[in-house]
Amino acid sequence: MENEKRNSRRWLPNTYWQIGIEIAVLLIVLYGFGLLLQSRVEGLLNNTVEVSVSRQAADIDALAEERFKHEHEALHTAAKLIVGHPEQEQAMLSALESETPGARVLHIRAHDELTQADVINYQDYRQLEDAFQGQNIVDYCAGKGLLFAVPMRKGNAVTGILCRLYPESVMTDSFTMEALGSQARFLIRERAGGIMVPYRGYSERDEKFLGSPSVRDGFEVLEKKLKTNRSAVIYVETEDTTFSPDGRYYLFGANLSGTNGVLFGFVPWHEVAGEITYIYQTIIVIFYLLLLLFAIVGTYLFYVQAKATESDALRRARDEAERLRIVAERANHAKSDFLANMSHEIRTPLNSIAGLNEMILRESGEKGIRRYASEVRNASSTLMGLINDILDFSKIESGELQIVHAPYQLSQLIHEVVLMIRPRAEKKGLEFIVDVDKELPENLIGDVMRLRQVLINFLSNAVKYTPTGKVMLIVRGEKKGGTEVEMQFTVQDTGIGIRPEDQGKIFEGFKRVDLIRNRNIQGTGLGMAITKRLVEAMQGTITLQSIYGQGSSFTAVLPQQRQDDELVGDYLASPEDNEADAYRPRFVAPEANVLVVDDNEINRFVVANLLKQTLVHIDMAENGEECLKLTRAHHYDLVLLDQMMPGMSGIETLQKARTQKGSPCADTPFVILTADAIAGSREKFVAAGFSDYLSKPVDGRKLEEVVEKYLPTRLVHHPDAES
Amino acid sequence: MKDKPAGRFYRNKATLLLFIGVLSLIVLVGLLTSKLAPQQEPPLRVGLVLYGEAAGDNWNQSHYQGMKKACEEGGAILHIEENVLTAKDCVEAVDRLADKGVQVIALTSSEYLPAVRQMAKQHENIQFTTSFAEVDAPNVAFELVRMYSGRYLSGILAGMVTKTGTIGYICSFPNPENNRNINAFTIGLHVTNPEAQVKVVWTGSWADKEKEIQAVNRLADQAGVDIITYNLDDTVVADQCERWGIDFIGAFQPLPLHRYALTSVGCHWDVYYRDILERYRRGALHGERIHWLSMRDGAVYLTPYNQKVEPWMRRAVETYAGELSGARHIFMGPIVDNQGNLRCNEGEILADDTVLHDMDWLVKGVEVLGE
Repeated sequence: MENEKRNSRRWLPNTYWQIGIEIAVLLIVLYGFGLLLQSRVEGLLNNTVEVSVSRQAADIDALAEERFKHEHEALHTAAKLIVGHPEQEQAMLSALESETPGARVLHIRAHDELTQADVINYQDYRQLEDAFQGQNIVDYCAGKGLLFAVPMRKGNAVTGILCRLYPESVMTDSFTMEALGSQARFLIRERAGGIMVPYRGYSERDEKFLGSPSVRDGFEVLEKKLKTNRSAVIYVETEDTTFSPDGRYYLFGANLSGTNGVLFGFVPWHEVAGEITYIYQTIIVIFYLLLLLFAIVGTYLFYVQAKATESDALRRARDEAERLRIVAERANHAKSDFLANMSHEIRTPLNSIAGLNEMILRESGEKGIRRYASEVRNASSTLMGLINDILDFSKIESGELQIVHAPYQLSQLIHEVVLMIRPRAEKKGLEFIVDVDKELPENLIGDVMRLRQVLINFLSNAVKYTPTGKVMLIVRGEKKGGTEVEMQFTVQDTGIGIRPEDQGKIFEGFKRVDLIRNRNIQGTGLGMAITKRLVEAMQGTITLQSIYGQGSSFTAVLPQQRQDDELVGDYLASPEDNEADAYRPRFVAPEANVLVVDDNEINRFVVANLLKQTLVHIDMAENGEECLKLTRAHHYDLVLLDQMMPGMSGIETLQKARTQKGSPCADTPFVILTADAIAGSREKFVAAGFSDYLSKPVDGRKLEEVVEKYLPTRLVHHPDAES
Repeated sequence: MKDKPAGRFYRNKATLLLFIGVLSLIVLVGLLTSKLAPQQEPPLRVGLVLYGEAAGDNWNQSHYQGMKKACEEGGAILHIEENVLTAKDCVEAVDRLADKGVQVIALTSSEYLPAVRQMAKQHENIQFTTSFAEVDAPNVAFELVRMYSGRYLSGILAGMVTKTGTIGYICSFPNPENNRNINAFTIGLHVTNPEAQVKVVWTGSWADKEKEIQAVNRLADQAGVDIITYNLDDTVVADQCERWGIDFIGAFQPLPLHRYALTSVGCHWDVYYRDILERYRRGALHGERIHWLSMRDGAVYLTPYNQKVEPWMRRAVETYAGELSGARHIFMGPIVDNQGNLRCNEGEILADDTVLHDMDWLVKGVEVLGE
């Protein structure tokens, strides 16, 4: 769970980023839609209003027609009367004039000469001649006014015309039309001309408004439309707020049919269309709400999908990890098996070499041959050491290394180590100093084998890399709480030292530093790597101090457990005899019977010969079966049993032997010979019933020790002193 | 491993978004164009019914050309029906035009008159115009041209040109149209030549080659005319005059190739039709019964004069033409017909409807040459 959380935290920034971009894009697109929709709706609503205003303008035209028709009728009636009763003419004319104050009423006879000077003449009122030919006319002349004329008929002839002229000032009063609210204004213009006739209350302010560019242009457009339409409307936006607070107007026009005049007008936009904004505002609000809803739902869906994909990915990652782990584990198992096999395969022939060589060393009387054999021994032990290193390192790397804690004696450890190293040091002419704190506890619990390996590594390196001077082993310790003791092993030398940049590399595997200088020195370069891992495996630390050209100091600090309070005391570094000179057996036991069981003939031979000088009686068996046969039949004082045998293994053989009824070897100690040197072996074999184990290749001294240990004491005789 | 799922995630997402994007674009485009856009007004469809062929003679051709020009200028679509000879044919022609969605139909022959009312009723949404008669229907308008004013002026001209003082006039048969033309011509003639005479020959048809040639011959040989004019659909008279070398005054169209054409009383039918279409669009045509187009509207004109017409003559004609738009009225009394009847009192003017319908007489100075 924790892991997942950590993983998802790593995931989320990426996905959030993606989601963010997607939502942003979506919102931009939809906002753009919104804007377009807005302008569209506004346009449509404006169109609708325009159409409505246009119709109303057309209605005005119809209204005007009615008015004109009414006018003509009035005149016609009067004309008829005058024709029928000429004497009534004056009265009639007066009556008409009084009816419409400000308007002039005239009777013009057909043969009257009308000059340009007259108010009513043919030039200003071009339709006048039509009136004389029998038509009712309405004509407008800018500056003069609106003229209505009807023919005066007498039979099939026209004797004259009766006309009424409305001057401009009176025109608007007589012909005001109420429509489109009180804010609307109307003007009349000649269709062809551009001269305006004002409405009531026309002032300079109005003139400025009508003269403003957008209004003028608007009227121009209207004019064009009116050529082919009964009425027309146009929407304009101006800066002029004289009549409308936001400067928006509708301009409209209508043809006054039957005349040469055109009606123009304007009305503030908000008066006609004001309410409409609410409609489209509502639409827009709804639209954006839907937009928001969509965005939310969209976000949620995207997020859900993102999460799903995330957990998919995580699951996949986990499965992959699992798979890899299994693969690694299997590889590891394979490696371990390989190592175990390799171990056995390699050590077996080496065992043969070492053993046989030992025999040569012991039996050959010739010094020369013994010298050769001595060299062979050195070489084979070096080889063994190298192979051990490699196998150890592999084991460590595959995590196979196990630290086994068992009681041991500190003095004995030091003794063994010194025994190994002193000869080498003295051979090189180096001074070998051992400094052990007397107060250190003697009986400790730890993995003495590995510790020994560490110390030997340190010391052999020190000896190797020190051409002259001295090598020092310093052992110290500090009591920690309880039974814990922190041991400190330091190996100091006056050798060639290590460069600072190389000091780190020392502990890495397969690396040797200062190759040019050290080319004569043998080694795989694994030693320190193994040592470090060993120390660390034992919960310790390794440190290195070195001055190039002066010397080095390796220190291993690790905790050990104290068994009791016995102190190590004065360590006597007594030089031991050099073994290479001559071999003398530690004991003799001619009455002892020993059984050696090994499937390998040479191994049997080697063991037998190694024990020859102890004079024990040796019998041999090839396999478990034979062993059982022999142990059933005879009494042996000791059985040396190989572990790796075809058929029954050493352990199996022992178990069978122990369950054999009435065997004379029921109490016989069995010692296992094994090439399998994996830690924990001793415990394993002891648990199985063995008294001890010997690792192959069999070391002569070790073999003697073990045999001496487990033979019945009465059979063991010491050559120098009677114990 | 971190990339692979993200990559697939992204790819699917990208496709989805692309799909949505494209879809939105389509919807957007669809919204913006057509459907919701205010409709463009469809063009006006106009029909013309011709007695003859559009590419044919005088009358029909000039009507066709005029209407075609008016339609082109006004952005209207013209549909024509040719060789429509009888009223029955006219009904069918009109039906065909109506199917095409024609909104205005112009009828150009009096042959159709019997069927006009029926057609008007049948197609109440179509506006009809006639050039020959008034019809009592709200969607039929009688559109007239004051041809006679042109005649009047040509009379004035003839009065100045003639040496013999006798003018020949060839027409189809007596009807108000022909009568008023003859009368106007004669009245004009008498303005500049009070003693001049007009000899009229009726051919009995609007286009009869034989009769017309005969008429020309007769007028030239026997009547002693030195100028001939006519009111016919074809140009046979003009050609014949040309052959004989007789001065003449043409009708309805210019005759630039005729050397003996003093002038021609022309009619700008495109002006005529343009006026009709414009007023239709303005809605002024509906309910209109009669409408006159006169010289001042540019519908009637005199074509350019030939050499015989001297500058002073031209000036005179122009002066009288000017006066026409004013105090001078053609049919102003006193008018006496050739039977001696007083047709119009002094100081009075004959009303348009009289001129239109009731002129069944010819003025003094006109003589009809019988068979």
